[in-house]
Amino acid sequence: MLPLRELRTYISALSVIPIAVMIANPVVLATFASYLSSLAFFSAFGLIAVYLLLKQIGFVRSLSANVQVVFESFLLILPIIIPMFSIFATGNPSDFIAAFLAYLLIGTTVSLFRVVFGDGVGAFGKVLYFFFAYMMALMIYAGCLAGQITGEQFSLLLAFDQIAGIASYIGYQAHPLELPLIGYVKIGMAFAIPGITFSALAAQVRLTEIKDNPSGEAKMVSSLRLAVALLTLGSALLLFPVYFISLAITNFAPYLVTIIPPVLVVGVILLSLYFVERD
Amino acid sequence: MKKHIRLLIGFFGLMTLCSLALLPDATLAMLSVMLALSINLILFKFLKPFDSFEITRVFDKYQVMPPEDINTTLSMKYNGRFPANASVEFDCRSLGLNINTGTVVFQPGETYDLKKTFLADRRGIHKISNTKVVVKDWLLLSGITITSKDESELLVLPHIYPFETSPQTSAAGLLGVSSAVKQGRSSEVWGIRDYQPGDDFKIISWKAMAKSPDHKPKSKITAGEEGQAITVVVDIGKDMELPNGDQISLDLAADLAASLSYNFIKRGTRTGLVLFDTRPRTVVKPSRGESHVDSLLRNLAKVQPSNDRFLITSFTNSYLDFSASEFGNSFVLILGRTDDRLIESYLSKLKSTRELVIILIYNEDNLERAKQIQDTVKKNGIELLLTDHATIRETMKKMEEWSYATVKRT
Repeated sequence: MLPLRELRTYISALSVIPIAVMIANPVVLATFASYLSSLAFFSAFGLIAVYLLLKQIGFVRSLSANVQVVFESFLLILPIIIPMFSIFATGNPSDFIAAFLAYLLIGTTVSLFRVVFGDGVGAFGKVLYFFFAYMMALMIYAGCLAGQITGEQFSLLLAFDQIAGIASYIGYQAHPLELPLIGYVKIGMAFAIPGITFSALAAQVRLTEIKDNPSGEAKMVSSLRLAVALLTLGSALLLFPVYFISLAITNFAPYLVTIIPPVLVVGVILLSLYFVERD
Repeated sequence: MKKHIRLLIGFFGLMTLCSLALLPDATLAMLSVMLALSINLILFKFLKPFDSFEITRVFDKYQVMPPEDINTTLSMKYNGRFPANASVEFDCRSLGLNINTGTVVFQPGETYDLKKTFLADRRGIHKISNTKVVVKDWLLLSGITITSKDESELLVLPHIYPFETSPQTSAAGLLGVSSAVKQGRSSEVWGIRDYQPGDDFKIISWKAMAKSPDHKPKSKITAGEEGQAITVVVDIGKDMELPNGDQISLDLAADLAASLSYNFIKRGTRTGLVLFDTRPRTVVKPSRGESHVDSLLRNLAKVQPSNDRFLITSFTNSYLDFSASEFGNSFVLILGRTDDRLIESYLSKLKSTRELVIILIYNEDNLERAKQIQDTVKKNGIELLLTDHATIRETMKKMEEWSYATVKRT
């Protein structure tokens, strides 16, 4: 019987639910099912599996530094290089898209795994993996949905449009979709945000503890659980001003709603921090 | 750049990316973590857990004779209102002591005790560093170091090898001389000996001189005194830093000097100490009593090899300046330098004026030369004992015999 894991692991698992909602839904699953016959889709999985196996058995590490870089890059890029030939030969991008979707799926899975179980990952790592998983899940969901609408299996272009906010500032005409399950995702994120905050803070404590005493038990995380919970609660409360400022901005500058409120709150907090640190 | 600043910048970058990508949920997630980090740092400065620690460090002894265990107790009390992370550390590098609790979560009002025993086996004054308390915030990102001004010293004295024969049964005892350590000279006369230059005229026995066949002056041996004073001279030059077993030659010299001084004084003989390289660096005039023993041992505990080398020519000049009345006529020279080609000839000169025994400390590198010196000076009637870390007890035994012979002679 597997031993019970720590509280932060369960909270991390709960906080990835919104991402799971975007991946495990009929639209996405139907798209995956349609790719089951694609050789490029499976070869991407196969090559990355070979890469992971070689890494696991220590073969990659046994190579010299330069050879290692070339070898790893080659194995990781190969799944996307092979379908390129098919595009040049036939002009059909379906193999390329299949390989790309495989990458997105693997990337999301690995990121989610790191968010929930990642040992040796600190606060920044946890949040970064969460960010990657969220972005890639969003692309997968949007791409699959757009594919159904346009008649493709997966729309690569519209998948990118979903995260192309930056490009739209410089004139790119993005066409983000209104995703049907986004309401559930937003509700899920309302719980996931404090969840990932708690998880990231606890991971930071654990990481420092491991660095100080690699063989020691995880005592500090449990001893500081209340402190971490208090910090999480504090940060959740401070998100309310962001919400109210956002509501105020939505009416006249909706495109700045993700920029101005957080920057204002962060500015105030960092200013307070500056004065406190200066003393 | 500090860890917490790096982390905040990293999160700010991620948040900006999410903001510009128009991903409000992800932006809020980044912002939430960033706010939590900032609150943590602000609370750390606001609650000031670093002002609420009481640290007490105690050693059960501060002066020991090696090898001896020293027990240390570190008592930590945290008086804050919220849990705090802190590590407490101090060390004594020269004794290989390093106490570090690692980061511990201190709960309000709790007391933590740490006990450690370590071995003091190296002569010298060993500095125990100040106790450092590194108090960290809840997420262990930033910390403040508080250094308590409790730097202290442990005095590890030289090792003392006692003479095998106790003072009561020694040759001195056989001569009828008291082994009392009381200071000064009594009017009670225990015996007569040959006059030695420097003897106080008051103790010259004119009657004994008249009765003696050769009419040579005689001095009285009074209660509380055993013969003339003995002075131990120790070479503290650079050559004494040569390794000798686990120690250096100066450690052996200090052990020998301490043992001889202690035993001589215990037996009632006034004993002095001179630490010499190119000139006398420390001069402790012969005396007796516990405080004098303490002074000698402290000097020998502290001494370290100097940057200069022992000069036999300088020593010869100084040696002649040591008045017999103050320093006596018997000298023990503990020497470590062997490569000086003048040693043999100058040692012969020294012998001609006073009673001198030389202990030459060698190691495997200069054994040949040491033997050569021994052979040469032996021809001139000078007693030279070779010693190293393995033969120090034998040397002490020979010195014990020599000391009894000195008393008998007197």
